[in-house]
Formats: sequence, structure tokens, C-alpha cells
Amino acid sequence: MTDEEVADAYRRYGSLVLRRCRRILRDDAAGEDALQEVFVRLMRYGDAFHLAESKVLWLYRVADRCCFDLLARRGARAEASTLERAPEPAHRGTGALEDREVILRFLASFDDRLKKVAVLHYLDEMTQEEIAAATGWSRQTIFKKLAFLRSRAAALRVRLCGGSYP
Amino acid sequence: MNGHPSSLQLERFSVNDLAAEAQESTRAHVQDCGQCRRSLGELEQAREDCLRQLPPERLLGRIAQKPREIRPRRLWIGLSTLTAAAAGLALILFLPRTDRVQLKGLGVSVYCRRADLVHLLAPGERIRANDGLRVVLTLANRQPAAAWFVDARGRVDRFLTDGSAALEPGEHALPGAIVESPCVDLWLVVAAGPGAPQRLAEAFERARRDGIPPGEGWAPSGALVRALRCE
Repeated sequence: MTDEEVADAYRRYGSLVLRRCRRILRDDAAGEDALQEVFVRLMRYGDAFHLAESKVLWLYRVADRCCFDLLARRGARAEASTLERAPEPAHRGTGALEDREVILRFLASFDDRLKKVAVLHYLDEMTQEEIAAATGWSRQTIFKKLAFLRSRAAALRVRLCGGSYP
Repeated sequence: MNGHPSSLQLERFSVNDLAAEAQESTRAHVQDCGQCRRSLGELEQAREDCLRQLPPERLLGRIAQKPREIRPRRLWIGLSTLTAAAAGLALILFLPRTDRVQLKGLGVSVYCRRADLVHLLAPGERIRANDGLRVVLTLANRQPAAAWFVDARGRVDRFLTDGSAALEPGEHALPGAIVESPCVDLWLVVAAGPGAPQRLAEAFERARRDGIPPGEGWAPSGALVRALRCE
């Protein structure tokens, strides 16, 4: 792609990509790093972008990959720092944190398939059927992964806020 | 439309990325929904903030500072077959897994482990003896692929040779390798598509026959070549 084409794509879609990266990474600076990497890949794979039926979905797929890579590089440090920043149990009840908040906070601790399902479900608000269509995995697989994520959310919520499993 | 559109649908709507019918039904919903109009307003505000904080020119400037990421480069590697096998096991344990991303084209990334730190090799960065190397291959489409190393002495290491089995689109981490001591320069040659291993075998054999020094001259047309040079 030419610089002008990349700039046009950035003007149109850049903020959506940045927003997504920041929500996945929960870090503004890291989100900008991921955004930059997404447009590096756009420059490299511009042909595929031109052919994509949905430009947003194409960019989101790349953004997710970039973010997952960054999360993997962060590794366990992210989880540790997240726990350090977590509010004291006395300040927040167990139910104060929604599954989505907890899952995204601990996204780095999941394998890539779970990350993908988590992002599609909790960020994009896709139904199981839509996730199955987007990933090519069976409904049963999606169901199991979402059930696992919910159980992990419950356990992680306890780690963050104290109390017992809801 | 039943209920509110999903956040993804609203985001796509904001840039006219939905199919015509969905775009129209979302538009009809938004006209009567204050909550969704507010969400769209937030998206528009975010767009303005984004472009103000990081204008396209500055983004392009940053990208230009990473030319190695944009076009395939040529690098050198050195390794021996025995150490490669050991390194493969070791690197699988310490390098992060990569997952699939469906992109067009063929790409290669080389990660290096040195003193227990793993990093993506930078442009022009030299390798050293005992560096651990791992190659990540990116394929656009489901297709067979072959990724072979050839070192400065003409020794060939076939990492991915089964041309009968197509690889899924996305990123594939290949077995690792350890740079032998003393360090020896080496090329990575990657070909994709039907008959990829045969094309590499024929090109390498032809290069040997013609007395071409090991290097990029060994690669068949259409193959990707990366080289790693020793310090």
C-alpha cells in the first residue's frame, strides 16, 4: 500500500483500532504500540486488506493478534501488577466487578484461543453463534470456552475482591 | 432490529463498514435510540482525539523507522544440525507461542535468545555463537511450505519439508536452532505453495552444480530469503 492509502485507512479506522488495542491491553502506551504495529502490517499486507469484505473486521483481527503478542511478551508480570493495583476487598464487593472487567484484566493469563473467544464475547458482544461463525469452531467448543471463562472470572473476582464464589 | 446493536456492529456502522441492509437497519435503530447516538458520539470524539494526538503523518513517520517490518530482509544465521535439534526443544519452552492471523503473503520473523532474554532480531543486528534462534513463518492461505537453512559452508538444514501437508493460514513457529561455535553465517530460504520443497531442492542442487556461493543466489524465484550475519 502507498503511504497515502495507509494514511487514509488510519484516518478512517485508526481510532477504532486504537480503542480496541487499549481495551485489550489496558494500557494507553501499549495500545499505541499495537496500533503502530497494526498499520505496519497493513502496509505489508495491503492486498489482503483491499480484498477484505469488512475492513474493520480485518483490522480488528490483526489488532487482536498484535495485542495477544504484546500480552504474551508481558507474561506473568501483567497479572502480578494487576493484582497489586487491585482495590482492597473492603472497598469493593465481590459483585462489583463484572465478568468482562475481570476477564479483560487477566486476558494475558489465557491461551490464545481463550483470548480470542474472550475478546469476541466480552468486547465485541458477539453471541455464541456469531463467535462460532467468526472462528470456525463448533458451538460446543464456544460454549465450553465461555463456561470456562465464566468460572475463571468468578475465581479471579475472589482474588481481586475477596469473598467467596458467587 | 431486536434490542441494541452490539458494540462491534455500532463501530462498523460508524465507518460505514456494514453490509447495506445491516447498515440501514442500524441507522433506523440509532435514529430512535439516544443511548446508541451517544455511543456514536463517543466514537466520533475518539476519532478526533486520535487524529489530534497522533496525526497520520506522525504515524507514517514511525512506520518508516521500521523498514525491516515492511519488506522482507536478508539476514544470516549459523547453526549445526545437532545443536539445532537441542535448541528446538529449548526454544519451544521459552518462546511465546504465536497464534493464527489470516493475512495475505508470506512472512518470516526470527527471534533470538541471548543471555536468557528473547527478542525479535533488529535490522542489521548480528548474531553470536550460542544464540538461540526461532523462526516464525506467516502464511496467508492454506498451503504447503518449506523453510530451509543453508550455511556459508553449503550445509543445508531442512526445517519444514513435508510438501504434502498444507499448513493453515497464520503464524507457525518452526523448531529452534542454536548458532554454532564459532559462528557461521547462514541463510533462511522459505518457499510456499504446491511443490515448495521440490523447488527448493532443485534450486539448491542447481546452485551447487553451478558453483554459486551459498546465499541468496541459492533461492528459487518467489522464495523469501533472510540472512543472519555473525558478529
